[in-house]
Amino acid sequence: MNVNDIDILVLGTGCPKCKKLAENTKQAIKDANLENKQFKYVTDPVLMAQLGIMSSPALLVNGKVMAKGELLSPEEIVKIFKKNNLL
Amino acid sequence: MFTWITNNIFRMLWLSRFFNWLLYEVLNLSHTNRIVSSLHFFLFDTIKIFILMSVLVFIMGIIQSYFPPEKTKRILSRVNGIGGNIIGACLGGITPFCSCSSIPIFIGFTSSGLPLGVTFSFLFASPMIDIASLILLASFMGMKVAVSYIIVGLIFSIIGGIIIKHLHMEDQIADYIRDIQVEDEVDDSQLKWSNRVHLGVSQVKDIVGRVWPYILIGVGIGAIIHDWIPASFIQSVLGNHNPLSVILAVLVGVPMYADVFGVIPIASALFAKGVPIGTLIAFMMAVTMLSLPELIMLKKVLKKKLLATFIIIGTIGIILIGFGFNLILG
Repeated sequence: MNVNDIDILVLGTGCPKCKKLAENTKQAIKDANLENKQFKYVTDPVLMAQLGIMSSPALLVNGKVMAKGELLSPEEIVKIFKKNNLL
Repeated sequence: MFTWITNNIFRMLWLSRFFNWLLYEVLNLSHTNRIVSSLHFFLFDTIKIFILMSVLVFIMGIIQSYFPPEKTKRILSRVNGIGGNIIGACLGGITPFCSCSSIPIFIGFTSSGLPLGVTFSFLFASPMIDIASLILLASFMGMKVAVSYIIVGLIFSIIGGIIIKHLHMEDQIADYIRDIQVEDEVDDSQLKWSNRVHLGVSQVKDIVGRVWPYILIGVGIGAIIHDWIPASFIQSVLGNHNPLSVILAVLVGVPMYADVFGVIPIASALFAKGVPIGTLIAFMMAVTMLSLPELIMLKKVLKKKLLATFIIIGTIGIILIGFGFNLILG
């Protein structure tokens, strides 16, 4: 899997905080009408380590790490989408 | 001045007086009723912990924003020998730790070539020690216990890491980790102050949202111990005269999974009933360091022998610390 091919990616270890971030991201996608974008929630600690991420969970947009170790709200995630010209 | 700070900020005696006034004067409840006494314990401890926890986690979030694991890794890769263990343990103490992050941190540290012993010093210290536990312990059991807990915890993490280093168990790391090529992401973007505050607030929301049930259970158990279990019984089981009390405390503590925040009300109620400090410290360390979810996480990155070594060193270390404290302070 090439992370650069996925528009919106939540990477985690399967912890409660990771699941919550995935949920919030789904909500943000809905709120911003981005259902046409590709979204994936992946639980793969090895992939995380390969990307140099050490705080779980992480949010990646177009392969770029936008946040890690942080539980963002749907509103904050929409802001990140805007910053990355997804809207 | 110092006493004023201890009494009003750490111990929050004003809050206790408020509940005294509310329960005994406004509601005119009986002073001798044990249910009322339990209620007082429950209300006071719960609100005190939530206030202290929110403030402390916020401060921790700010501090943590200066020490993300990526930076810790870079700092640690620059020190050699025992210095690595010492700094590893101290950084483990600063980083608030969630078992969520233990795997990526472990893989990140080892695959970038950090010595196993240093990584383990970090892993021992991280769940056990942080600034929040220092202040909370000071609040519930006094400065002496708090400072002892931190110092002994650090020394234990340093020695534990050194032992693991000398056992040369580098082959006991899960095979897939060795094949990982880490992209060394240099992330030196300076955070703005507003980002740090935001990080602190989100940390509070996350941790308070996650651990509140443990706190209520912890305080509930504390309230039962406080008013319903006779001191003589507790002392006969966990007191100084029972040489097995420390071992018992560890055996009870390991399967328990709770945050420092949930354990402290239980420990403080036991403390009030005369359980010796060493036994309590052993109990708290067993709950926080050797918890089952943590071990299940570690099982994904360690082979059996190293995992067993981690558990054995942890258990023996905690028991020795408990006995040591009871012997010196008892």
